[in-house]
Amino acid sequence: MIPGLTWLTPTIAGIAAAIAVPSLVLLYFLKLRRQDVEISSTLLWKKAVQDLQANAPFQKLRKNILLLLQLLVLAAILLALAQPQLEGERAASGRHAIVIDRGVSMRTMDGEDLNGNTVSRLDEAKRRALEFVDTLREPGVFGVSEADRAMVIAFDGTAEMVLPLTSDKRRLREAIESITATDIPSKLDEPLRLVRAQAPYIAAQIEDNRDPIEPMPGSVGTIHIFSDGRPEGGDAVDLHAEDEVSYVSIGQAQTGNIGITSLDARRQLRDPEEVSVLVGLQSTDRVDRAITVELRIDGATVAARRLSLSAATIEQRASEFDGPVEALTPSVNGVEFRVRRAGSAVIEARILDAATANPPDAFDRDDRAWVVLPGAKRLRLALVTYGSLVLAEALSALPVERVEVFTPESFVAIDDPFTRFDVVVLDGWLPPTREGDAVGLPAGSWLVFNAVPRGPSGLKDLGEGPPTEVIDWRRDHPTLRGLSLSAVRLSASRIVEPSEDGSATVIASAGIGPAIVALDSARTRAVVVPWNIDQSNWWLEPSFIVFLGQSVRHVTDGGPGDARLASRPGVSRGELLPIGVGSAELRVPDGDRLTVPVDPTGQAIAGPLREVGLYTLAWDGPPGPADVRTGSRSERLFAVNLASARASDVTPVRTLVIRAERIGDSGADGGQTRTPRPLWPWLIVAALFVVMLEWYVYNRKVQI
Amino acid sequence: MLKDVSPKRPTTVDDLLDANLVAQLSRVDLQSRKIFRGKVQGERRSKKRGESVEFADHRPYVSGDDLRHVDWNIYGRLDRLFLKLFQEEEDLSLHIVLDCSGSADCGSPNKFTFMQRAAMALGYIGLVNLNRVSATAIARAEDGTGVLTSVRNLRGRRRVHEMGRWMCSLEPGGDLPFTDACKRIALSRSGRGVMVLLSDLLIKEGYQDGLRLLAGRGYDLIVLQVMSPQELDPTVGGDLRLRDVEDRDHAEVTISAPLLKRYKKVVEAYMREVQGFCAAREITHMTVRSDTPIDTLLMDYLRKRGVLR
Repeated sequence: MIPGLTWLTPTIAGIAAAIAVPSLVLLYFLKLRRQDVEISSTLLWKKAVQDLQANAPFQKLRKNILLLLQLLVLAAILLALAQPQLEGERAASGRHAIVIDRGVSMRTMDGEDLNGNTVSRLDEAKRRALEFVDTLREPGVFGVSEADRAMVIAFDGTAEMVLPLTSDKRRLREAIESITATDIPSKLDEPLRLVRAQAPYIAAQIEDNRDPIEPMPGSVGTIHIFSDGRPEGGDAVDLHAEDEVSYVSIGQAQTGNIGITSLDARRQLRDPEEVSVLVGLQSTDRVDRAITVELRIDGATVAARRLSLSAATIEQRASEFDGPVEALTPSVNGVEFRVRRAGSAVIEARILDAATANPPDAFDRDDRAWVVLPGAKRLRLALVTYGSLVLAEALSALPVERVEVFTPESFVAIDDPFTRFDVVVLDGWLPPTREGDAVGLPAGSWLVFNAVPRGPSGLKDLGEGPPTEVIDWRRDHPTLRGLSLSAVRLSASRIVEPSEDGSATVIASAGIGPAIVALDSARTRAVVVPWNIDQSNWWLEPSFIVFLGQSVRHVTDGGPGDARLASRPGVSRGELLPIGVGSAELRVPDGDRLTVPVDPTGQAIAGPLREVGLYTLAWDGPPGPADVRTGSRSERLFAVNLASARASDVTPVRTLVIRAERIGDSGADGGQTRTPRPLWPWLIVAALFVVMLEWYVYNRKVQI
Repeated sequence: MLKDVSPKRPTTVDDLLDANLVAQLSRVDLQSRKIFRGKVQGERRSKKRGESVEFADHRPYVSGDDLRHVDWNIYGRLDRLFLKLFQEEEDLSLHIVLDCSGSADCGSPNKFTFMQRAAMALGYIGLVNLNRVSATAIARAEDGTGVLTSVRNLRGRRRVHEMGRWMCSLEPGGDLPFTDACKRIALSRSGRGVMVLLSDLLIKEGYQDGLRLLAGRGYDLIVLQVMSPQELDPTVGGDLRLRDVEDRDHAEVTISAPLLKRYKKVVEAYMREVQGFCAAREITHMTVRSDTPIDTLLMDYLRKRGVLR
């Protein structure tokens, strides 16, 4: 037996052979068409034939080349019917999951196509995956044998099922071809979870068979991961014991990269027109590099700085599994630019000579970064109080243009206060409301202390409460980001209950209930602290001033000041738009325009953002304090930067760690499977050839 | 071996004998290993002492002898009478037997045409040398006998055309009751002479009895077994149904190299058998291929075998 030769349909071929071979031999003798030839005498021929038959009874059969050739043709056809194929080692399971990394590191241009041209890692991964698809076993001609089935999953920060389990190779190829790279760093847990979710449920055999047999997810087969090993994670997924993982490592080990890992722009506290731009850089190159960093503001180059980055440090570390491995520590450097800019600006930092360097920078997604800097305009605050010294002092400490203090009576006398002030801070008093002010406050941006705005969508005041303390708060809320309220004690509290229609969001809770509530409606944005600050120790805490500052910024849709926080690719971005905006349009860096819904609170969620670059959110309506007015439309810019030391390190990792198991590179064969070569077409060709030979022999043989 | 569908038949004497051949034939004569007594005085030496000019012997004179034959020179020297005996010269009887069966009408070149030309040439030699020439065509006649037609006792150059016409009139076909034919010929011939049988001897009933009959009664029998090149070295191949042109008998053969080898051995064995049979009965036997030139046959082969001189 030839090693690696398998038969897809041997039974059918066997049955056919059992019928066809004897039939052919029988028919050959029964239906042999002999040509009539007149000769002078049969005397000598008969004698010769008799002699020959007497000498060898099977001579006729043995020496009959035509019959022999016909038997050969039949044998070739029967063998073809058995569908032999030569193949190498293959995974036992016929189920495969082709998991292709399309994360940002797969954009690195250090892959190779079949012609040796440089392509991206993703292109190489797709090529390797297509080669693997070619090796999958196809169904037999008669559908008797089972074909290999595969699913295609693409992943970056999330995983996408590109094609569910199928044996259709054409669809598999199309699915693989359709995968495009994103700018999102990859995570391995997601695709593995998605793969596991496709596991067939198998009735588990329980020893004590009195219990009902409960189906359990079985093995998904072999998971083929085509990646450069940069994805994070892999340990959080429980694979089935029979799941096999094959890792095809993509990328060149020598590939280095220089990238911008951080970009920030800040206005000086004392001189808001002076902007300090900090650019952080990292190099994973194995050689020292000198680069030029250019600073552009609104597209115009304003500065360029030459700086050098030393080679990354490479250490040989002993590994328990893989022997000595290289551990690469990137070198870092930074540069600071100082520019004067009063108005808003789009600041861009870029590495100029990355592409022309030798060796060229193979990864360009981190060669540029953007930051959106609002104008130097300061906020105007109004404080309405019967005389709170704490709030007046605290507000005056904020970097705002001015804080005016009013008594409730004098404030009521102001006609349309939000033309004069950006934020109104209420202390122990609430302005009169009109019909339609559902949250208990008129339209505008408010900070409310020691009062409970009552309304159908606002809060319910349940009276005074006992002394208590803040026990929980939302650290992700813009007003409380980076703060700790654990030390806040209230000597007198207020018991409130938020409405259930979603306008009120509890952002901090005390022992008796909500301690701080954010109110967002179509026209009103407010942060409510329903209890008296003076009767707590909070105003003694630094967190109070920070809370005030962040709250002012929150209710004014972010507000002017420091650079707008840039997003990372892969995340969604929530932007609070001015009150009354119904929907917005998002212009992504590649020029596409997407409609972004805006909820009644003004929150517009865009994303996940797949590309690095500048995004523009545009809407019909009034601009916020930091927004740009373009004709009848208002626009807000924000940036998405890779800006990650880990993402800028694109050195391929040859070993994946999954389920605490180290998976090495499966090598050039794409993971355990070699190409099964179907032999039946060759057998058919051979049969045709023998038929032609038989025809030739027949014509040669019958000579008269 | 194969039957020729429409062979080209000779129609005149010139078709059978071309001028060059005639010129060559004029220089040869038939020769028999036996010396026979002819009917009339001819050009052949006889056992009889006769009246030719060729001295043969002396014998003592006895009363009644012709005094013209007394050798007077010896009488003068010895004073005794002796007679001079001279060689008697007689004519020779040549009988040509031509196989006219279907099997003869096969092969390429056609065996029968070859036999016709050979027979005509021999007949010509016989006629111009003043021998008595008879010829018989053998095949199954309409009356079921083996003799088809014959010409008898032709003599002299003037009869060449008569013989030629007879020869051209022959149409081969049908089977051959060989023994019957030979028996009839043997009974019909008279005296002694030379008999030439032209046949392929592919005779299923056997050639032995026939030849035995022909060889008897003092005739010097010469058998020219004519075979076509295809019979000796077949070029057919494949799955064939071989059909005998004479009796329509058939043989299904799948011709392969071993079979061809075996066939050739059978042919050789058959030739040897015929040769052995003839040798035992003082019959001159020759196997002749139908592609042999007639002059080569006559001037070379038959001369070497002493049939012609």
